[in-house]
Amino acid sequence: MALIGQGSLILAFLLALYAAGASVYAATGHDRRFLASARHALWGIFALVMVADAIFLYAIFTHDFSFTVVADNTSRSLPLVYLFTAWWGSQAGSLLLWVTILSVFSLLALRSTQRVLGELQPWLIMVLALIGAFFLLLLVVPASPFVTQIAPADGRGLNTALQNPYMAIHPPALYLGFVGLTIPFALAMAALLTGRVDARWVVASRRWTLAAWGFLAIGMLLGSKWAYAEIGWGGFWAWDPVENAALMPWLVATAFLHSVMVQERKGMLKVWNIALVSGAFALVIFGTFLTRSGILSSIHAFVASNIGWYFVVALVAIVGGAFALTIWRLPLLRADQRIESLVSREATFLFNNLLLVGIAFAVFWGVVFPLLTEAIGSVRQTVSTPFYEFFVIVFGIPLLLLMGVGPLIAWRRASLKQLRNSFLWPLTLGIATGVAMSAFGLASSWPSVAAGSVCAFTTVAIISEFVRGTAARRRIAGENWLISFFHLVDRNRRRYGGYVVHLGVIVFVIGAIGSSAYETQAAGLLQPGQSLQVGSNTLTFRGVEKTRGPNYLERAAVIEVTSDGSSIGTLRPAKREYIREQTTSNEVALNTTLTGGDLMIILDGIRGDGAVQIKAFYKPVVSLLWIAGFIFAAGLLLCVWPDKREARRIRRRYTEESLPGES
Amino acid sequence: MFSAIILGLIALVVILAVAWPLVRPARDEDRLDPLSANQRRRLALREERDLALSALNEIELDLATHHIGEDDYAELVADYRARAAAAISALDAEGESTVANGPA
Repeated sequence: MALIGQGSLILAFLLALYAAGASVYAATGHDRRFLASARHALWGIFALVMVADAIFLYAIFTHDFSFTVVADNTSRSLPLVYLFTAWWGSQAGSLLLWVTILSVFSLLALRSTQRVLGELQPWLIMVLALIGAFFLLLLVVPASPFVTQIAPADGRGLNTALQNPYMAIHPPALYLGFVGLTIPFALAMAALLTGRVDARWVVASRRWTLAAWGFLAIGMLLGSKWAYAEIGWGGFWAWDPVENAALMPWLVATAFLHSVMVQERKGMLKVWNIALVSGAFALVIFGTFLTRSGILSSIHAFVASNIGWYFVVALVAIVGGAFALTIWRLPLLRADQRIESLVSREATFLFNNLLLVGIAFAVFWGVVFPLLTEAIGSVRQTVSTPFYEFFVIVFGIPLLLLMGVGPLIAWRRASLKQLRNSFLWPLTLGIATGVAMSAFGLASSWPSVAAGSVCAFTTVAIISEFVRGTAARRRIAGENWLISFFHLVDRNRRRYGGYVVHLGVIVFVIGAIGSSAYETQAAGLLQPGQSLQVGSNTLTFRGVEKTRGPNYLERAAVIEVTSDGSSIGTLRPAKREYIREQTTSNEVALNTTLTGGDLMIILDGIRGDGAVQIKAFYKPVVSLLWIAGFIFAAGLLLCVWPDKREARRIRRRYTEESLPGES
Repeated sequence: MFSAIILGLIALVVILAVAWPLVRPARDEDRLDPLSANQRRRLALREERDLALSALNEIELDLATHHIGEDDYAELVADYRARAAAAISALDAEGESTVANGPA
């Protein structure tokens, strides 16, 4: 079995190299047969990776501990669902998942862009095949999932952090995002290689970038929910380098999604867009390098682990290759037009890009600074949360403001009269919100007041856009409000889907600020019968309860909660001792109130005399963080949902010419 | 041994599938030519036409939602109409159908 799995991966690696070579020959030798052969090779890679997946999963589910990876990451007592998540619980397994997604995405990308790309297609295959070859090489040499041993009686079990329902979705969602960003990068490189830097690569990459960006956002949100509910430190985002590894490409991809609209409408920012797409993908590889090389634990661990060097070489090739190709094609990348006015939508997109890239760079610096200090001075100097928060406040508040300003300003230019009309209500309500926050004692700090005002400004600006658009459509088409609203959104999905995403961001920001700036907390050592006060909640400890799960022993503190004399219920924060894994995990107890706040209780320790050390938080409006995810996802779906009219336009534009490369 | 045979069979199937386009009888349409200069020009004209029509659509929405005034509207519409008309005329001159395929 292991031989078939390993052999399949070796064959897939060789096929990837062949596909790259055959596609180059197809383009330079003008031979469509080689293009077809290269496409078949991509299908072959997909089939071989499926064989490897099937063998790997079969080994996991049948507890075949002769596979080292299976023995190191599962056990006989591991629940069924976590046997599945064990797929990405190891370095080799997660890389196999990566390659699986890449092989599927490569085929989908070819299919979805076939009509648009024409002569770019062989080069797209080449780039995708080379990236596929890199990851397959990792699976063949330094991180094979098919290394075997003499089977032990039982495995070591799965990392307990992964034994959580959110961890069943969070890593695959992130991988879908990371791998998805491969496609826009490959399209941009194909455009540079052919010198055909017209709108085709932008049109072809639009939905791919949106989807990848959306998966990254949802993956990060699920990771936050996991950290919040599982880790037990009372927060949802710790600026951990692993979290930052996903945040950096997401920020750069966000910048690209905005600046690409300027290129589509005005023919500007062509070099910038290629830099952003390349930067986003390079940051994906950099983040993967960070999390897999061992460099985060110590720079010396990186030196000891040879997989890191593969990523360093790949990173140099990606950055160097993209840079060299851009310089080579610079004469073709000149802007068709210039920005007419600094008070225009394209100008707000430009400012938004600078701020997003600024935050991304601050996060990047926060990640690499400790590594640099350790490499130079042998003592690692860490960067703490205030560093990140400073930049998020300084860049983030203007960014929120631009989310409201952008929709109110027309493309090209805006007159003073129109600005006055558009800004009147948003500005009034924004200022009123700040004043009200100060008056009602909600001004915990100046950034929270500023963010509150800006959130109100932007929310009103976005809602007013929906109202104005619907009213205009109603006036012109003579439809009722509902039909006008539906048609307005349906005919301008990208624009209004984007506004819904922005509303999701606003809701997230309110949840993040509200839950941290206005939280109350308390901690104490409680004997049975003793109480602790958190805000208006009284927590009374009743005793310790012991239960046994499928692969763990759990000890929970039974805590009765009352608020203003009425019972809220009983919460059971716990500690789980995993038997095979020989580790302990925190099980946070949560009670969500009707107003969206959470009472969170964490069991820090249980003493021999039956007393418990507990920590409790009341976090107002924290549920908005997760509600924001749904709003965000709805907006995203609106943006990426297939639009028949647009598809027809694009088909007419690109297929009338019977472009080469179509089958 | 069994595993080696299975692996060999898998390899054989994959190699045959990949090699098939190269070993099947050659066809006229096997030649993969890049776009000619004329095709490239038409492509650029169609992109220009669609961009101008799309911009006109947005200008209408901007006027209807009071983001731009009548003066700016008139100037911008004249500019983009001229660009769209020039692209459509050039395409017409090459005998290409330019039936309304702008933004709905």
